[in-house]
Amino acid sequence: MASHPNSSVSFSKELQLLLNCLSNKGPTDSTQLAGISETKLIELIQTHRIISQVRGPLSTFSEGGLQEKLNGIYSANKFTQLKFAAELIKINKAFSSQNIDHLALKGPVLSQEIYNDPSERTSRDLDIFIRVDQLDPSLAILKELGYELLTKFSTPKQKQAIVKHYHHMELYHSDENVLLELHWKLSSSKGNSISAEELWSKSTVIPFAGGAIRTLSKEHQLQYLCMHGALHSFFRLQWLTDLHRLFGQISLDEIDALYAATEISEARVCLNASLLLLSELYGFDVPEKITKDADRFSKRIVQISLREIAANTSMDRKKSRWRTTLYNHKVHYSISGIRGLIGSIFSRNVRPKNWQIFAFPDSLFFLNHVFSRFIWLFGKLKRKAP
Amino acid sequence: MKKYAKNPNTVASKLDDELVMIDIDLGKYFSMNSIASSIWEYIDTPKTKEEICDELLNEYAVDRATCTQEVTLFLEELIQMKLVNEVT
Repeated sequence: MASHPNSSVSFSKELQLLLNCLSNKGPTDSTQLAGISETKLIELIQTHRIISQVRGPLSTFSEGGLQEKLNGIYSANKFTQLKFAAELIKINKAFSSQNIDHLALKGPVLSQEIYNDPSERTSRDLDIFIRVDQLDPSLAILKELGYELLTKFSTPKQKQAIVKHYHHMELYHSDENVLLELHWKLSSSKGNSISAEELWSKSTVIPFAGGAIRTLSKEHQLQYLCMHGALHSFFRLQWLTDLHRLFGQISLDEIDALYAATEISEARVCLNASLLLLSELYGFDVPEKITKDADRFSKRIVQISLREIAANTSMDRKKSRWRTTLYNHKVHYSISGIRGLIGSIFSRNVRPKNWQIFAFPDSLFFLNHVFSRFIWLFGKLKRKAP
Repeated sequence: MKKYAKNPNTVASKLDDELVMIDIDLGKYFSMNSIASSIWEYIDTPKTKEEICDELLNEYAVDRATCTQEVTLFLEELIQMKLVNEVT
């Protein structure tokens, strides 16, 4: 176990090896792979979604068995990501033909921006951002393309609650096995976030697989990824790896400018936390002013993130759902203050899955929130009943 | 003279020495070895068979007659699979 200088968190040998690969520090010879559990290493690579980034450094010094496994995971991932890219192009065409404004978030477009290859980064879903007033026509187009809505609602009040308390709806294409998140906000955070209008006005069109697609501006991309990672306590190293590559593509002056641009928004805390983590885990050279100015909220996110990263094997996260929920509330408080904390707690009582079990009519809609926990428990007991 | 162009409805990526791609409309995957993927890269902009051979002769030790024959067969195969279109 290796302890980190600014925290009491210890990382397993396998996790430390992966961090060395991600920060270009190794392995430098085969002895550094001695005593490593192959099973644990593979599990961590898949959980943190970093196969493309660690296969190269690990393959150089690994024996046949591990190398074969890494190549197998890498090839399978490549084909899946190509399918996601193809699906994104289909949706891009369908939305454009019906004049639906849309931005591609993360996924194959981010892969293209970071690696100049739409299939090099691991994604499990597609993320598309639309204008909230174009939600209905967007859903209709996606239905036509074969997507089924997983975030179900059947009354106007239910839809209104989803739009207010959530930031996306989930859809699934069973033939293609593609999960899609349709966003109208960048996050569920209730704080002072980037306005949708600002996002649209600064959005940019990039070349993508022989065509073109609209996405976030560089500045908003970085702010979004910092916020997304922070809200999830960076429990996947993939999110930090994305930021490491993107920050590596810009100058320190540009980082300073980004820092200044986030002065009045909650993005500042997330940016600070991300840069502190990159400095600690990836040895990224962060401007001194930023490390000096970091407030207790950013530092708290760093501590929570380090604990989450250390604990993140798929098994550990399942065991610690309550701890993760508590961390999540703490992170919301750190980013958006008391408003963020209340929003985070309240939004847990808006459960569209409950409405499939029992739903109060729209005239008594508030009772859905009040009885949310009971309906959830009732559904759980009903499922367990013989 | 006939030129050959990529079908724009594909997404391709390198997988070690191979090139793998998916046909967007059909959802079918294809893979190409390193020489085939070189040809695929040459036709980023439409090219004639002769222009493709010129490029290959610079890169690989092969005589022009064999090269032309192989390229012709390969392009016919790609046209059949609808991965390449003939353009004028």
